[in-house]
Amino acid sequence: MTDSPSGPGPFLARLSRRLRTRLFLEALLRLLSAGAVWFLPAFWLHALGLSAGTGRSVFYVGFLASALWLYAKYVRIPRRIYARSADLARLAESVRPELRDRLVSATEFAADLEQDPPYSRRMAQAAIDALSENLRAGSARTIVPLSALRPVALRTFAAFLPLFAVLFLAPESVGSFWGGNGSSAEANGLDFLAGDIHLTYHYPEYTGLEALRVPNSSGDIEAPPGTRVALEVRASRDFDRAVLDLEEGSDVELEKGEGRTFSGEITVTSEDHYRFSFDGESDKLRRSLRIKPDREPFAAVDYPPTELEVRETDRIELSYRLEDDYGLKSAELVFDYDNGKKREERRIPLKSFEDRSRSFRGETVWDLSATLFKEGDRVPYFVEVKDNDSVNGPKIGRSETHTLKIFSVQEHHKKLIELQEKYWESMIALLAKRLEHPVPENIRESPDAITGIFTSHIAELNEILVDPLGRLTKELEDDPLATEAIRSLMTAMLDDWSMHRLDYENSLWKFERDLQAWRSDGRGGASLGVFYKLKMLAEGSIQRLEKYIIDLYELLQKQKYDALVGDTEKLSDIRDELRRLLEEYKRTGDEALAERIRALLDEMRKRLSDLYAKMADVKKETNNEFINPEALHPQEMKTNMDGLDQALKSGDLDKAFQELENLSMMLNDTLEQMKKGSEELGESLYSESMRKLLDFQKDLDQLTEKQKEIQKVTEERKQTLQERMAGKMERDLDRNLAEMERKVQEAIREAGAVKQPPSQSTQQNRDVAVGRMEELKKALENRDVSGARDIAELALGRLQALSSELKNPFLIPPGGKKNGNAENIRHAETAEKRLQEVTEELRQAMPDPGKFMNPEEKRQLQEMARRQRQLEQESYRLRQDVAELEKEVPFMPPDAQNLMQSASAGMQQSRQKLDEMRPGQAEGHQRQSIHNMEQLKEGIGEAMKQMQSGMKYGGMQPSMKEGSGRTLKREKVALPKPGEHRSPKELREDLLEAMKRKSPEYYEPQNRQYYKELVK
Amino acid sequence: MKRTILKIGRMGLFVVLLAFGLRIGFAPPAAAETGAKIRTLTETGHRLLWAWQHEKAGEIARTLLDSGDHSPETLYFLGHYYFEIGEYEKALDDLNGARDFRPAFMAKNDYAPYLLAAYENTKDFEKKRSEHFEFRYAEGLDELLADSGLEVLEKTYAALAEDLGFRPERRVVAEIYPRLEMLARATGLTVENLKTSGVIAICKFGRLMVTSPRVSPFGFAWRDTLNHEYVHLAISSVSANTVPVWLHEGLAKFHEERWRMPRGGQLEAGSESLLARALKEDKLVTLEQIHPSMAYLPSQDHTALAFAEVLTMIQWLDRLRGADGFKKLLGALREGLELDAAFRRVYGFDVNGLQRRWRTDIGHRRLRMLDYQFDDYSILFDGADENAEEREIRKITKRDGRNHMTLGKLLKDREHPKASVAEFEKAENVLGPGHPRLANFMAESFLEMGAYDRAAARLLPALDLSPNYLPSHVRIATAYTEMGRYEDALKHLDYAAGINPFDPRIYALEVRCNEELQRPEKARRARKILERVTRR
Repeated sequence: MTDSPSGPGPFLARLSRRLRTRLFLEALLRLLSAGAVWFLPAFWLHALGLSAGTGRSVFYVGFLASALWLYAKYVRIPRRIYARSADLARLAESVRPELRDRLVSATEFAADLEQDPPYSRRMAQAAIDALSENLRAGSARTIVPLSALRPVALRTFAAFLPLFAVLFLAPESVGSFWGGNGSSAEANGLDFLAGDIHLTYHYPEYTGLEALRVPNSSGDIEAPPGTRVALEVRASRDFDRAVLDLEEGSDVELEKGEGRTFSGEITVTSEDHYRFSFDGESDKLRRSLRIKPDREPFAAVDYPPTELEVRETDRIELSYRLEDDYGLKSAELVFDYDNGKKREERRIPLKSFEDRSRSFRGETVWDLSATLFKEGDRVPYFVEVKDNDSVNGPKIGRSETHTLKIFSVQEHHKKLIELQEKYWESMIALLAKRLEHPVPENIRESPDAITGIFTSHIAELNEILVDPLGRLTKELEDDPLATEAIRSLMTAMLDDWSMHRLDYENSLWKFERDLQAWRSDGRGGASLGVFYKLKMLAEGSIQRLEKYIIDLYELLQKQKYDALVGDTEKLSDIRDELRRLLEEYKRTGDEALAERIRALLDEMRKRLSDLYAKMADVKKETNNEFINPEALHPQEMKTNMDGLDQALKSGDLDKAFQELENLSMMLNDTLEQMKKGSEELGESLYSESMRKLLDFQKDLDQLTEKQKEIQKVTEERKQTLQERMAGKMERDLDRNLAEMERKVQEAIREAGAVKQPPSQSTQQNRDVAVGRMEELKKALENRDVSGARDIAELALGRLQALSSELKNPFLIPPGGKKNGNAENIRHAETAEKRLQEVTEELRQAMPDPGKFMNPEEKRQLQEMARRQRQLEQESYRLRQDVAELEKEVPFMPPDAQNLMQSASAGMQQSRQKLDEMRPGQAEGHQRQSIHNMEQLKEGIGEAMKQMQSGMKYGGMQPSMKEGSGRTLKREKVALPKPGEHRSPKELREDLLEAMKRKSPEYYEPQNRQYYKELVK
Repeated sequence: MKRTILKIGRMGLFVVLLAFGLRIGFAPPAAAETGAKIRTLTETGHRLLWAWQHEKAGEIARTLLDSGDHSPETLYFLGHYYFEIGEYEKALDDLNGARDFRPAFMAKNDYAPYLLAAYENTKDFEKKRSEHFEFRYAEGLDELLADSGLEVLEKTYAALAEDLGFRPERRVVAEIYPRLEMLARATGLTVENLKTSGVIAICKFGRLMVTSPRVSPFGFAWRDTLNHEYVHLAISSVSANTVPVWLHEGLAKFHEERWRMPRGGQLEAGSESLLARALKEDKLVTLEQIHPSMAYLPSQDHTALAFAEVLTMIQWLDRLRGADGFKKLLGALREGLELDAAFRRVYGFDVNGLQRRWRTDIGHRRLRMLDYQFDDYSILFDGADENAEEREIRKITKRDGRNHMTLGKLLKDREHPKASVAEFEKAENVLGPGHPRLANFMAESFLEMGAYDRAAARLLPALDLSPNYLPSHVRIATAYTEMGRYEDALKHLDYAAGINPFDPRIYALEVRCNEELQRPEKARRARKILERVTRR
């Protein structure tokens, strides 16, 4: 800033000085305020536990920041704002209105005059001079008055008020706050004696923590119990002796070190406060000694889940987690169970720790068989863990309590009966649906609708019938109380439903195949045949549902009846006990007996109510008419019990006996009725079936016996004929033997060359054909022409079937190699051709048996053929009977029809061979027939046994079977772990096993696909 | 010859006793007459009571009362008399007055235990009277039986007065027992006897004893039963208690519906089938087996068969001589003729001749034999017999029919009426129309579907075969009500009330029918009963 001595220069210089002074003073006041303001939070933080050094750091930082800010605001920024004279002039104009537009101008004129102004210099000087007069009169004080600092000074004072209050109220703390900075209290004028405190924590061994040195500590101590804390302290003055003065505990003498330092050690055992005392003079500051708690250890059971039903002999996988802040010591499994007399707690050690582990994840197998659990008991259990606290003793943590529900055979049985009923109800619902929505006639021409119905039927079969039944049947295997009747029925149902489902699937597959062909090239199409097939299948479902609903219904009802009989018998036992007690009471008058009688009466009432509820359940399916309630026993029995109770209370024992007798009579009556009901139901269930089976069995016996007679005679004829023919045949054979053997060998080779047969059936035909040809070779070696011819014919049949299947386009798997198949066909045809030649040669080698028989023998064979025809016709009648019986009779062997059909077919073939004068072949067929009939008889005998058992009263009553209860199979209950979602191994094994079994060839493609999908 | 002499002797004795009794009646003994005369008089009185001659016994009683005699003989007789006419308190007073006195000839027929039982049974009973009857019943629901019961009895009284000429002067007592044990106690039979044979009512000691329909879960035709028992009383009185049981039962069965229809007796389809089967299998109940009581027959089937046999015998006799023949037969028996002689006198053949001729006749009748046996004749007792319905179904021997019926019922109960009808129709194809249970099941499904005419059509053949099967009446009444045929519905409801008057369904429908027919009073009455039977 340049100023003319006679211009505004001096004035502006004064103003500038004045302004700086004022800004400086204001900055100073504000800095003091900031000091006071920053002290308070820093001190507060210290009071809350922050060390004095840190507190002071907070103060210094805050204070410094404030100082910088003030420097910027009051020094740097004004300096820049008022850097030029014009800026100061503007300030003056803004305060003094009379200077407006003049001072700034004068300042500029003065500046211009020093150079060469473009206007009159005299004019400019005149303006300057005029202003100078005015400026002399005014003072910079009026423009920048110091009085404006008053509010700032007041605010500064206000800021100091809290500081004064703190100093007044807690001078020691303030002293401590300022004193801990290394500068002595003395220097600060405060009365603190101890400073430079250094602590070294020696934690207890069990914590596993390293020693920790804390320099410049406030002296406050916090540590787990048992921690030894070594202290070093420096006194503010020279002292001879220092003591650590505990408020509640004993004082600790400190050892004097170099200079003013003292040291000592204290063990943390309980919470306290202390002061340093030097030569009897106590330090003002009260320091804390706090316990840092050692938390209880934590335990958790990850699985089993909160509740699990297990068998008493199971082995359970148990997974658990343990944690502690310093270290684990041991863990135990604790459970509480009913030992038959009382509940008892038992502990199984799980793990003990030597290595101060702070966390552990463990798994163990809990073998339940090691403890005698009671069926039906609910066993609470938890994992208990101890930590390694060796100071105050181990602390204990417990997991949440989980529960094991010990499998009860009775409960399981009850649950399965409920499942059976549920299944039964689902069959009824499906029957209703099928009856109410039959296959509509108008879908005949709508392929999509047919597909839709097929698909929905299959889905229903799966979801409602086959799958739930599969699960149920599996569970029944574990139910020792399930009756054989139920098991057999369920198994038979499962087999039948599964086959029915396959039939549906096969039909759908064929239908879709035809439909596809029709859509692509117009061949085939939605034929009427498919529609009728669908109708037939739907009707088949209805018939099956009808049959199985009734079968299961009767069995369930019978089961319930028998259970009711059991319950009524238990009531009778209580009644007998009541009578005994009543007699004893009459004799002795012992009041304790009266109490016992009343308790028994209560129990009887409860059981009676249960019985009525069960009876009502049994009857709910039968009774839908109004019943006079007075006609029912229950009321009378209850009345009798009330009467008995009343008589007992009034001491009228004769009346009590009378009421008991009445009750007894009714109970007997009820029991009799129950037994009668059960047996009636049993008879109703099976008597008619038994009669029919007995009739059938009789007829079958007769047929078998007659067949045996014919077979015996036929065998004799066969022997005689073979002996006569043997010589000639051997001679004929000798000529061609080598060539035939060669051809057979070639046929074996060719058949064996058929690779990767497209279906199981094809594969089977190939394998059987090869097997038969191997047998043929042996027969040729043994020169058994007759046997060789029979075998050759059988093998030829297989080879023909093999060729035929290989040529069937539908059996070629999708994407199958056409060339490969053509190769297969060529091999099969060659094999067939060779074997055809061999068979022909053997036929030629085989003389006409008729030529070896005399007329009488021929007549005998004709007579046998006639008798065989009679038996064949009888067998047709029995086949019809079997078909009828299968519909009506429970427990019929599932293959009954097949067996009878095979027997019939055998008889037919036998008759044909007898007609052809070939007793040898006829005899083979006869044997087969007899075998089939014997098998059928065996199955029927089994069915009759089951029915006999069911007819008896109590035949369906659940009873513990040998091998049940405690000797149930031991099984580990492996619980699914995360990610375990695949089908259980057992199921897969079942599937794999089922895959190995032969199935009808026409189901083959579906089956394979089905299994493939399942075991993926 | 010897038999004739004996018969004449017995008849003579009766006449002498009667004359003696009457003479005494007309000429009271003088005070000076000896105790021997009193003894003779009371003995005659007892014998008259045994012969159901209550009016004449009453004359002796009055004579003795007039005489002022208080000897044990007199008091014991008066007790007997009052017991027989139903005045138990008086009877007890007199019996107590007689103390331990028991005439030697009464040793086996002492009425005392029965009197005590009758008193115990009825001491808290209510009473209602009509011109000729006194109806006694336990307080409560059985009151519903009183008016209707008295009406039935009065009608029966009029009918039998015409048929048999029986018009008792005294007011006949009818007792309704709410428990079967009371009937057993009153009659000396065991409860087991009663249950086995299905006996629920007995006419003995000059009165009618009937158990309430409440003792049976499904009730029974109690109004016909009242009629039936009154016929027994009439026969015993008219014949002076000389009629054998089989004839008694035959006549009672023949007349048991007289209160509501002309003479003739109905052989229901179930009984007809039983008889047909028994004839075919030669398993008839013999007349000897019926002695001494139907109650001793081994089963309810036997009882029903015996009733069917004797009813058809009486029906056949009725075709020969009509009601006059019965009157003459009973008269001949009263005269003291042996049964064979009485038959020969009236019909020209003896009992063996009757049986032979009956068998020939019944052989010519085309009796219907059902494939199933349906027990609408049987009386059901006790809780376990709630299974009667199930048992009825099990009795169907054609398993196919039985199974389809069961399936239909299972579907119906699960609210699939359409599907259930499909199954019921399959059952009907096997069993034929008219099986009462099947018809009722089907009717239920049709009612649920709103096909009321089809429901009624199924029930009509069932009612023809088993008219006493209550559910058929209730359901056909429901169908008729829905169809607006209220009068027809009310007829069936009345029939149903004659089987189980405690079934609330009856009154619910009655209310509706009467309201529709603008009969507010009847509707109100039905509503009142409905409230009562549903409140129990």
